Amino acid sequence: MRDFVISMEEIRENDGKLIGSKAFSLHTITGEELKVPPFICITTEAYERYLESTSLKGRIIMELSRKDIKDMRWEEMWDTSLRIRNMFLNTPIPEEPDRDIREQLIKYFSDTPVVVRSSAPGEDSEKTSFAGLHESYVNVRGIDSIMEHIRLVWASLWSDAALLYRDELGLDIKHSSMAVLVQELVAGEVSGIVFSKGPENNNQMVIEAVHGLNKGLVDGDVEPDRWVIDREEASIIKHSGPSFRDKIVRLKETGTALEKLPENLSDTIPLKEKDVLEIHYIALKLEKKFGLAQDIEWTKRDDEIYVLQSRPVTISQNREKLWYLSLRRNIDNLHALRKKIEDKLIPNMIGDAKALQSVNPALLDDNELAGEIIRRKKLYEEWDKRYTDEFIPFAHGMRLFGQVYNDRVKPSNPYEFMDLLSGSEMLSIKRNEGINRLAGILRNDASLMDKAKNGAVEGDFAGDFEKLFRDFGHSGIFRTRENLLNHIIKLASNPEKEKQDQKDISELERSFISALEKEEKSFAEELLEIARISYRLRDDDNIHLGRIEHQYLLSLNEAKMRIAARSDKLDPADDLELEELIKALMDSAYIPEKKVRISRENVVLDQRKTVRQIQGQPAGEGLVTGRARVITENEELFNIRSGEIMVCDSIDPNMTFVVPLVSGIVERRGGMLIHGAIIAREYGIPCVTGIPEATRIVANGDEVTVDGYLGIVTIRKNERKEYQ
Amino acid sequence: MSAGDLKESLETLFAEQNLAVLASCHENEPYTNLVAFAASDDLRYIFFVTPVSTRKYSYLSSSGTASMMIDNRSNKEDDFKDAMAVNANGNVIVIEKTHDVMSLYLEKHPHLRDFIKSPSSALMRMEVRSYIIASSFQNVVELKMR
Repeated sequence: MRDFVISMEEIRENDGKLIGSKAFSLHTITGEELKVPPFICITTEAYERYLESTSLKGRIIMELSRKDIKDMRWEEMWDTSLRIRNMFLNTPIPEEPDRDIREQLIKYFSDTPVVVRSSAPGEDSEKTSFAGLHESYVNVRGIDSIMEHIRLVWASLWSDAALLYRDELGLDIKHSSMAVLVQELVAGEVSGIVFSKGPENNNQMVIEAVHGLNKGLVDGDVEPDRWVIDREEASIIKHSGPSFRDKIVRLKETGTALEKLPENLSDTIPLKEKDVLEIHYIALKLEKKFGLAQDIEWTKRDDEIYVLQSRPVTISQNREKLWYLSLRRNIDNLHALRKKIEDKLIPNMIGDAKALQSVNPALLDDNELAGEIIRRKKLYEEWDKRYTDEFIPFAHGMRLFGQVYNDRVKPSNPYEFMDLLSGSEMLSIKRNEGINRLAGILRNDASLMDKAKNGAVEGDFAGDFEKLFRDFGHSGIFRTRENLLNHIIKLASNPEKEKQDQKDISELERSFISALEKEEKSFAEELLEIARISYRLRDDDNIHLGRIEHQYLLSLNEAKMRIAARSDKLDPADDLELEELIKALMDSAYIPEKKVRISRENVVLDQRKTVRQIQGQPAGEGLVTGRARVITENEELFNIRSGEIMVCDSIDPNMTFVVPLVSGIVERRGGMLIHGAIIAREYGIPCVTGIPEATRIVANGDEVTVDGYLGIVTIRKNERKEYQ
Repeated sequence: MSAGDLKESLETLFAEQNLAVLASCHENEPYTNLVAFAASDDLRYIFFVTPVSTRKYSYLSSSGTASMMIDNRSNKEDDFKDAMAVNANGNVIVIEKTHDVMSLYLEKHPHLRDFIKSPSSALMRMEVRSYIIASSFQNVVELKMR
């Protein structure tokens, strides 16, 4: 029995590796006159047996070998962890550990709600202590459900956050393991955390407390009351209440819910002075016991304080990683963010683009133009930052939905949920349909086509064309009417390629909704709606941002043309530093320095080494072979010929008007939820993403096979070299 | 060693080894790859899987023939005494991914499930003409399968 499950009474002093850090520190506390909820440990041995006997280990190795994690973007890490999580969800625990674990669960928790917590060996040491990298589940009831959540905690050893912190965790398939702590749930009236040493002052201690369960505080959904305490004197230095004491996390039948705090509690400070001092006492006791400052989670029930977990305080961390961790959103955050994006940010963005459009840079004098360029740059940068701060986190709606869908439906394809999101009327698709419709008119009217080829548009076609240019022309790509018209002519010269017929998703939607418990159904519908909006906005917000960027570029172009006219040595296409341009606008005698441009030709490539085959992520199903068209500049989009494979660094929705022409997509940037992958799925085009240096290892005219099932790109060099 | 003993040691070797060196030929140029293989119980067939976009797949499709080497070398001096290297040769064709063959293959390589199930991979079967078995450095015997 001890191999796979160890009860709290059976733990021995050398069991640290077997039961993990969290469980072992709880064991250390037990017997210190402190209240600890009863628990049992599912050992690392059980995890390892599960991995070995189900071949999951080999499958995880294959998944991780797809690409070096250090070369992955956060979206790719999320994809990798999603695929691994789905493997755990679809792989039952083999009989032997299953039987032993169930026996113990029945013995201790057959009628008791529990918390299923991760307890990875070495996750909390002096050097490494990372909250929130692995999963914990609060209020799990019933043996089957606990068994399933044990698998989910195991899977979280490979969570996207854990992959991000892999170096700090020393994460690798050979040595990393996961124990699980199954602990009786203490439904506290008040809960919180305490740092035995404050982050800013080592002579102080910091306590935070909320009404209800700790989850609200730990997830950042409920703002806590905060006490700063003098460690030595055991006296309260300062208490500060939250700006709003209005939310509480409570138990539901299973799981938890974030609810409005009853009015009588919103005026009640969660802790009395005596509670604060008791927590101070506990924190000092545990600090002494472990020999290190502690970060402790506690809860209070019936006037007694329970210690839920205790780990060393560590000072972290890398800003970018923290930003990534902050992306996790719950449904309430997402609702608020949606409202903000739809009601405020997007209308403002459209308003700003229109306001910029109303100023014609050509009519400004040089000084005014310099000011206008600076204004547009600032505006573009502000929106670009908002994109990172608010639009990208909203994309978490898709991720949250994907996770809930996979947990409930357990599909063999972890991306099945995307079928429920597509067809959400994205702006880029509307633009492509507009273009396609005009191409259809030209295709069927030879005389109109001839005129269009000579640059003339007339009749209804002219009206529709103008509207399309007005709506989508100002995107940074279709700079002129000629650009747009030529693209329509090109499309019209090829047979019509329809967007993939929408699959009948109603059946899929029904099976998702029916996989949920009755009380979860409305949550699921709400989440699906958020996910659909998140999917659509992820594309649309780029189109809007593209319009602002376009206005900024227009002002730059105007400046470049004026400056180039001053000297034979300059050309409007020259790459000039912004500072140089501004200086030249302010001083009519100044001739700016050209920026040394590193062209593709200047890069010394190792001529003897060519990549013949490379693995990325399968992002759009299908298999296709064609000639490559490598896109390094937006202008090159207009060179794409029908049937070619588009190879690019990263697609944004402003570029996807060419997708109806291409037969496959290869992209450097990786992930399933990126624009390239989304648009490829909409058109049913094979797509592989996450190919490092895609635009350097493939040249125009190479024969490329895109295997969108396995995520493999095969390259046969074009020996003849000439390819236009 | 009788033919029966020989067959038995081949079975042991094939069970122990996961990877084989596959040699194909294209325009008179040999070409080799590592492949994860599984042999049928009677040793008449060796199965492996390849993406259809690869060179080995197109070479095998056009030539229809290949040889494979399966060995148990340990990269130490003892190999000259103990290692066994088996060369299998025969015709190679693409076969349908039937339940029986998939099960045989996946029993040995359970982590290659997604790979074998992908519509872009092909299940290949070598019908072994003969095995050429080298052991103790220079002892070589041939076992005809047809």
